[in-house]
Amino acid sequence: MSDWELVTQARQGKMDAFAELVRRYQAPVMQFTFRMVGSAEDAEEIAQDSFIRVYRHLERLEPKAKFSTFLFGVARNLALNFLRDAKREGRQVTQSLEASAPIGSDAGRPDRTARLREMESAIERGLQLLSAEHREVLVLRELNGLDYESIAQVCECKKGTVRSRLARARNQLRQHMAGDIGDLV
Amino acid sequence: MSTEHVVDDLSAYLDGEAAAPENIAVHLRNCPECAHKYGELKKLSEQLRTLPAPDVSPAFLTRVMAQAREKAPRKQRLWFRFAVPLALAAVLAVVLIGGVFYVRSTPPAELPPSVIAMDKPTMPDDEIAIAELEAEWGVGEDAGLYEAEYSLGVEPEPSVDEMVVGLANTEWFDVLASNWETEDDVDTMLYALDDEETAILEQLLRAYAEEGRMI
Repeated sequence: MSDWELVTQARQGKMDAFAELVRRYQAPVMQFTFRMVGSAEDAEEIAQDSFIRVYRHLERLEPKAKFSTFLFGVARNLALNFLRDAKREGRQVTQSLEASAPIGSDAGRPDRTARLREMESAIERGLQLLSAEHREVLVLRELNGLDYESIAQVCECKKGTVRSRLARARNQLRQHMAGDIGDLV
Repeated sequence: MSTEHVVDDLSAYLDGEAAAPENIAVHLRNCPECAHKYGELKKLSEQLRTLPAPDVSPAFLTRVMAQAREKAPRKQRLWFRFAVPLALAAVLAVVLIGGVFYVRSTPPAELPPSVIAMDKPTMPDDEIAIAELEAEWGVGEDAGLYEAEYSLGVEPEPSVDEMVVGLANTEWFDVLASNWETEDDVDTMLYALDDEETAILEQLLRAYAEEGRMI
């Protein structure tokens, strides 16, 4: 069943339909919010809030774009609000990323080498050093697999802007990683 | 082509979003420097995609759905309002069965006036007949009935008690009562009951006891 068919059912009060949408997108949205704010706890709260806000506006949603685009757009706005508030309050959000390691479950990946882990840490640190507008396009593209058109809708910018931001984001990330772990890159 | 331009084009080329991919492909075959940069970008992309996804808490879905139910639109709240007491009534049938001696040995509890009003029309017969005809023909719909009730100083809106008793005697009951499937659903409904809903449930159970019916 398509996302929009589930939305239609959810509008009619079928909670199971909305639950299916949550199941489909909880991991991708968590991936995005986590990479944006750097803390698993905050990311989960933002992801949950994103779903609730979407639920409250189901009646107003129109199938002009993908449902996921709308959902990521809400998550993106909430993540940016969080970062803005954190900055205003002087909270350091990038530190919590390292404190929250390990990310995911290493127990299921016995083959992970120390070198790979070091590389992952360097990427994570590099991502957090990017500006929010560069980080969001890179995460949406590389980790969420969105195309340029969808990223443009999520980030409320032009497709050409997505293209140039992605190029700069990749370049900056490589520079950060080269400075961090040198020849491992 | 400048280095900056090459980098910009290669990024879009990597994503399959370049404007002229065939030209870039030809350029890459003939330019070791750009081919090297493209290789670096490709490697970076592969490294990014190896990042593990954060664990999603097993309680994530439960928490979202609990909040969604709280913030459900009014239309759904109305459904929930009736589904909760009716479903709970079904669950508490065990309690009723267990306490059947008490129910039978106790004088019938008085039904609320609004419930009694359903059985004892407050309007003259001719006005009711007109109102029924209007409703049947779709001319006055409920307006005629309400106006007639107003003239007698009776609250025109059907009360919750009337609706509950009405629902309990219709096919809706089975539909609504079947909307819970697991014990967790019932627990959620139990926790969601407020004082008013509890009162509705009690009235429903009394109405059933009055009629000698079991759920």
